[in-house]
Amino acid sequence: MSNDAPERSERELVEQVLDGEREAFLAFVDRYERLVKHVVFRMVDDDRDREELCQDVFMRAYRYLDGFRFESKLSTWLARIARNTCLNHLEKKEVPLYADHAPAPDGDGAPDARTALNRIEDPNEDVIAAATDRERRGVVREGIEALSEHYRTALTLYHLEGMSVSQISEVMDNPEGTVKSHLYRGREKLKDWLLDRYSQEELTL
Amino acid sequence: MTDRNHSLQDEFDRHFRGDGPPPPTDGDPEAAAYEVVFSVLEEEPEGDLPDDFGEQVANRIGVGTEPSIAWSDVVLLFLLVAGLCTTIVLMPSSFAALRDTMGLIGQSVQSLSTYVRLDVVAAVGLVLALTVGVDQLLKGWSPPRHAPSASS
Repeated sequence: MSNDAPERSERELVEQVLDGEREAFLAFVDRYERLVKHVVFRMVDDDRDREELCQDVFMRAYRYLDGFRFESKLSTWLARIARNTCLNHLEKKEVPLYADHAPAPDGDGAPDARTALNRIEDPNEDVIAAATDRERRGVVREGIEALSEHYRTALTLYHLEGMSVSQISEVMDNPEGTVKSHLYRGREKLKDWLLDRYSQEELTL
Repeated sequence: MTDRNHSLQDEFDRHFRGDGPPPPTDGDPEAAAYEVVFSVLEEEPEGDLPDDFGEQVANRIGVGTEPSIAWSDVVLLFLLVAGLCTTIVLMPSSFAALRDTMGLIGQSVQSLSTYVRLDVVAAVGLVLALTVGVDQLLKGWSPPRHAPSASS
């Protein structure tokens, strides 16, 4: 469902939702479903909880919508609600929020393995390349799941939502410098995670 | 973080935002790893929401649905009908009796002094005004709502 008139401004949409118009509420959900899904799906690993959490986010948004003062973008406000809803959920479930993988140890046998990342010389190059690429991506996805919540959130909002550092700092209630640090450190951790895992796999071959 | 890491990230960031070529990755495992990392970070997370997700939330909240029966209205209607029936049953059988009653009330009012009559009218007016005021106040009142805080 994506028949929301593009010219409908945030303010108009909010007013219509507050008036109890079902069509406006559906358009509201349609417009921000992707954002909420990105935040929730990246923060919560358990499939069984994800959909319900997405619903909870919109329910909270609806409940508090008349308190929205248009001082920020609606997407920023909603991302904040999504993050807080997930944080509450993770705390209830006692999921550690700051237990990401340690940075890769410096260079333990990495050079050979790292070179292997680019060493694909085979007659069935395309097939092997595709399989290797899939495998690498899988490893990075695992790495994302293992990251601390603040890295995951910052990276998700930046890369998937295209939010600016300033918007992310508003969502996460952190200074912009901290957000930039989350972005750089998060990517570096993922890069190290990938190289580290490949070195282990290479050693067992 | 080293300058090398920093510059590689900046180059890939610009590239994935459509603003420049990617840095070369041949023979450079760090660059190759960053390429995969950036590529996966731009990927949609696995899994999806159902097609009727919006409808489900709207139904759960009850947006735009007809309000359910207000039982207070039903009770009020019942009392009105009951009162009307009682009045019809107990009403004096002839209009003459009703006229006598009205006459008696008129005489009683005539016997009252002007001041007392003014007091009665003022008291009735005051009660009506108070009733209307309280009614308006209750209609306009709703529980206060607060925007969610960062920690909530």
